[in-house]
Parts: sequence; structure tokens; C-alpha cells
Amino acid sequence: MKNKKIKKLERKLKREAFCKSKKLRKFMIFKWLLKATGKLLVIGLVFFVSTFALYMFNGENKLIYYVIRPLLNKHYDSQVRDRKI
Amino acid sequence: MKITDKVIASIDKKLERFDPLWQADHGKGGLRSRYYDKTGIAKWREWRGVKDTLYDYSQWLNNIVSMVQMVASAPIPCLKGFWEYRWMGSYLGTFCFIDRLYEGYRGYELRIAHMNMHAIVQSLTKKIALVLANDKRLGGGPLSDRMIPVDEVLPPLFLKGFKDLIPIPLQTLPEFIICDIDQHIEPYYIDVAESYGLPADVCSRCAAETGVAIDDAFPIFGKAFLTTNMPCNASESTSMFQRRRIGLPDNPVTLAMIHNEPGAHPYSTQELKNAIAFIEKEYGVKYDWDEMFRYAKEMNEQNTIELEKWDYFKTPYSALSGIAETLYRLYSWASANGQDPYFTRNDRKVIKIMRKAYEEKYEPFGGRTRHRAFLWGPSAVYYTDFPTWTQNCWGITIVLNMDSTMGHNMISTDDPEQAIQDLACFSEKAVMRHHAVGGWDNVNAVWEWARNFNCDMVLFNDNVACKGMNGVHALMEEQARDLGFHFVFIEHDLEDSRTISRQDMRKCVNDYMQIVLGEKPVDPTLVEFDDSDAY
Repeated sequence: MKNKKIKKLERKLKREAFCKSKKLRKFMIFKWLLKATGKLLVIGLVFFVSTFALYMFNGENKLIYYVIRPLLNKHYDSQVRDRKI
Repeated sequence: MKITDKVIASIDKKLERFDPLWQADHGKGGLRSRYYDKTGIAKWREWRGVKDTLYDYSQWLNNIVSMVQMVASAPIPCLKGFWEYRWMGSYLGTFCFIDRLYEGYRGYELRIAHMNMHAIVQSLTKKIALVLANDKRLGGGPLSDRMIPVDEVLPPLFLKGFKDLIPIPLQTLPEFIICDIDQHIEPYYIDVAESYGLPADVCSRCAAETGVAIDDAFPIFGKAFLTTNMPCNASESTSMFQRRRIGLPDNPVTLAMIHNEPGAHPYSTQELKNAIAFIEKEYGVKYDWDEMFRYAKEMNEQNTIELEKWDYFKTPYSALSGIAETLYRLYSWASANGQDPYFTRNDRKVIKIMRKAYEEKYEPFGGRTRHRAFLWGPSAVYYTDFPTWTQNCWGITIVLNMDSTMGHNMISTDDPEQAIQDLACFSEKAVMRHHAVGGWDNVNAVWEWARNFNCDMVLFNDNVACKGMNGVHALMEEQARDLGFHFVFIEHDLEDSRTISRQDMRKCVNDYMQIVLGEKPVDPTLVEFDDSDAY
């Protein structure tokens, strides 16, 4: 247990020393940027694939026509309106 | 050729069999093949090639963003609106409507069409959010008493002199626009009106507006209402019904009907002055001419660009035609009417593309155009996506519709007395007033319009319930024969698709093209199909 804690502390100290050098800092930032860009690309790709599939297969129109509008029409037909002139 | 272009061209070649235009050319289907029967719902969206499909997709996203912004700007009023008003449910058909309108569009014409449509969508969504957030039926809002309800056929531009007030055409949202998107919405309101004994042979627009009023489906806002003298007896009647039902103090702006005579303008000018005085009294505000001039400049620029567009319309190289032209002009003139600078910016972009297309001698619709038609048609041409259908089925390009001929005179931007006179002329040339009941000269002008725009064909909508226009039926037939135009009367019952269906309207053109001209359709899948259950 004690060994583990010491090792962890040593690693932390090494990392801090490592980060103090300019080159290393740049490398870390670059690495972080790469990771973030990769994540953004994956998110963008998932967004594109899902919305393009929805678009291409006319998904939103099918949902509206076959599900939402019939439900809304049921509601509108049950409305009681005061139409006294 | 760049590498990307080469890659795209090879993908397009591989996937061309999915393109409905290719299918029609090769006898393997066409634009109607991808629909479920009757519903107007497509199994999949149109494959237009890589570039155009991706562009169409990006504009679909763009329109979704506008709709999300609308709901996000007023979430509770929007939900209440959907729950309270039947016509709000019909706006869900907008995506279907846009797809229908731009079937077969590619390249420059697709780009311009989407730019124009997005201008309408962004304006309309903002307007819906504004109206619902301040609708007194739904609890009202901070701007409820700063809005002026205005009759939809009265151009609201002259009211921009009231800096703190917002003119809103009252019938636009629950009736005027939505009837173009959903053919089933107005029959419900027509039935409401007719259940009170209103005869079934009146103009269906007027009957529908009466039904909206009796059904308490008009949003309520403002302190006073500006109505107008409408161009027919049914319009007068629905004005009365709305006036009584809405119950706000009102001022009818009775513009001159026979407005081509110079003697009519001083009368209309005085009417506008009276309307301004009425609003000043009811709302307790002062008219500001400098504020008015700001918006007059916008309208003048839009009209200047419009006149340049007309020069391109006269050629075979106009990238703007059909429904993309007519619906945009109808909305940007009658509803936005110089109040929204987005339309000026959009016009600047569109005219640039039109210039470029003309320089490149670009023929839209793949050069499939066989006839150039001038259209004399109201709302029935929108819910039927008629200009798109004539283009795709028979190669008839609608060069210009009557809606595009409304007020295009310039308005003074420095002299109030001259400006109000210009505004009077401008307002006299509004929807309906300028087209059907503003005197024989305005109706007869159809031949001059057709000739000036190098058209060989005139498509004339025949509203079976319009008493005024029924009288000129035979006269128009005779003149067409004398002047040598291909002339087709298209019967319709305006907003009541039960009397004359979409297919019945299309049959008028089919019969003429097949029997009289002996032509074969460009896309045979579009000649006869049932879309009676479609929006």
C-alpha cells in the first residue's frame, strides 16, 4: 500500500518536471488538441450519419404524417369550441 | 477538373439510376415512383446527385434550426398554440411542402429556390413565435398592445412610421399561408362557416376566414384593427363576420378599386392619412416619417432588384422561375413588405446568382423546358405545387405569376407628402385588388404581361366560386384565340380541394397538352396520380 503511494507520487513528480520543459508542454497541448479534434470529428460524423439517414429516408415526415398528426387531429376533433354568434 | 469533381462525377454516374430525372428519361420510373399511394409521403428523398443532395440536406437542416429557434424563443406559447389551434398542427407539413415544391430542381435553380424558401421560413417562424407569445387568448404578452392587427390584403409598409408598434397581417398565419401547406385545413373552417348557413358557392377563402373567426382561431392582439375594402362581396361579408367576432375598434382603409385612373390616387392617399390618424388616436403614439423612410428604402431596393430579375425572366437563362419565384414574391411583398431587411440581403445574393447563370448561358431544369407560360393563379397553385408539376410533367416553365406583378413603384424617401402618395399607388396594386376586381384593364393586362415576358402560353386559374371572374370567362377564351396564345383555363375551388381535386386541376393541362397539342409528357409518372390524402 505504502509502495503504491510512493510510486504514484514519483510518477506525479516526474510528470510535473516533464511538463516544465517548453517542448514537452507544446507536445502535451498538441496531443490534447488532437484528441479534441478526434472527438469532434466522431461527434460530427455521428451527427451527419444520423441526420442524413433521417433526411434521406424522409423519417421526420413519416413520423409527422403517420403518428403526430393523427394524434393532434384526435385532440382537435375533441375540442369544444364556443361558436355562438 | 479538380480531383474532388472527378470523384463526385464518378459517384454521380454510379448512382444515376436513383435519380428520378434519369429514370424518367430512360423509361424506368420518374418523380412519382418514390411515393406511397395517395399520401404524398415519399419513401425516400430525391437523389439529385452528390452536390445537390448535400445542398438540399444542408437547407433542410437550416430550416430545422429556424423551427427550433422559434420553439426555443417562446416554448410555452408555442406548445399552447399547437394545443389550441388546429392550423398550428398544419405547419408540421412544412417539410413535405418544401420537398414537393422543389422536386426536379438542380444546380442554380435549387440554390435560389432554397435561399428564397429559407427567407420565408425564418420570417414566418419569428412571426409565429411573436404572435403566439402575445396572443391574448393564450394569456397575452408584453407586446400584446403594441401590435396592430391589419387585414392581409392591406400592405403594412406604411405603418412602419410607428416606431414602437408592430403591424401584423391578422389572417396570414391561420389562413393565408397555411392553406398553401395543407389542403385539408381550410375545408374544416369552411364547414364551420357553412354550418351557420353561409352559402357554399362563395369564395372559399372568404368562407374559410369566416370559419376561423367563428371557431375563435384567430390570435387576438392589439388595441385596434385596420381592415380594408376587399375586392368582392364574399370578402366584404367575411370582413363583417371578423369585425363582429374580434370586437376591436376598427378602421376600414377603403382604397380605390378602379385605381388605374389618376383621379383615384388622391382618394387612396387620404384613406392612408385617415388610417395613420386612427392608429395615432387608438394607440396614443406619433407617426415618425424618418422611421418610415428607413423601410421605404428597403422596399425600394427590393423592387429595384425585382425589376432587374424581370429582365432575366424574359430569357431562357433565368435560374429563378416557377414556385420559387412566385411564392417568394407573394410572401416578401404581401407579408414582409419592406419590414424585414433579411429579404433585401437575400435579393442581393439571388440577383448575383442570376447574373452569373445568365453569363454562363445556363439553362435551368436541364434544358427540358418546352413552353414558357404566364400564370394567372392564386393559392390553389401553391398547395398543388402546380408550377413545379407543369415543369416536371410537361416542360412548361412558369415565367411569372400574377402575384409577382404587385406594386413595384418607388416610394419617396425624403418627402412625406410625396411618400404618402407613392404609398397609396403601391397599396392599390395589392393582392386581388390588382388582379381580379381592380377593373377590366388589370385582367386584360395578362396578354401584355405574357407578350413582354416572351411567353407562348397563358395558364389562367378559374375559381369556380368567384362571381367577378366568372363573367370574363368567354372573353378571355376569345382573346386568346385572336392573339394566338396557347390558353388553358384551370378550374379550381381555391382552398376547397373537395370540389375540384388536385388531379382534376392537373387534368385541365393534361387534356390540352395531349389532345390539342399532341405532346408526350416529360415524366409519364406525373400525368395521373392520386394525392387526395396528401397535405
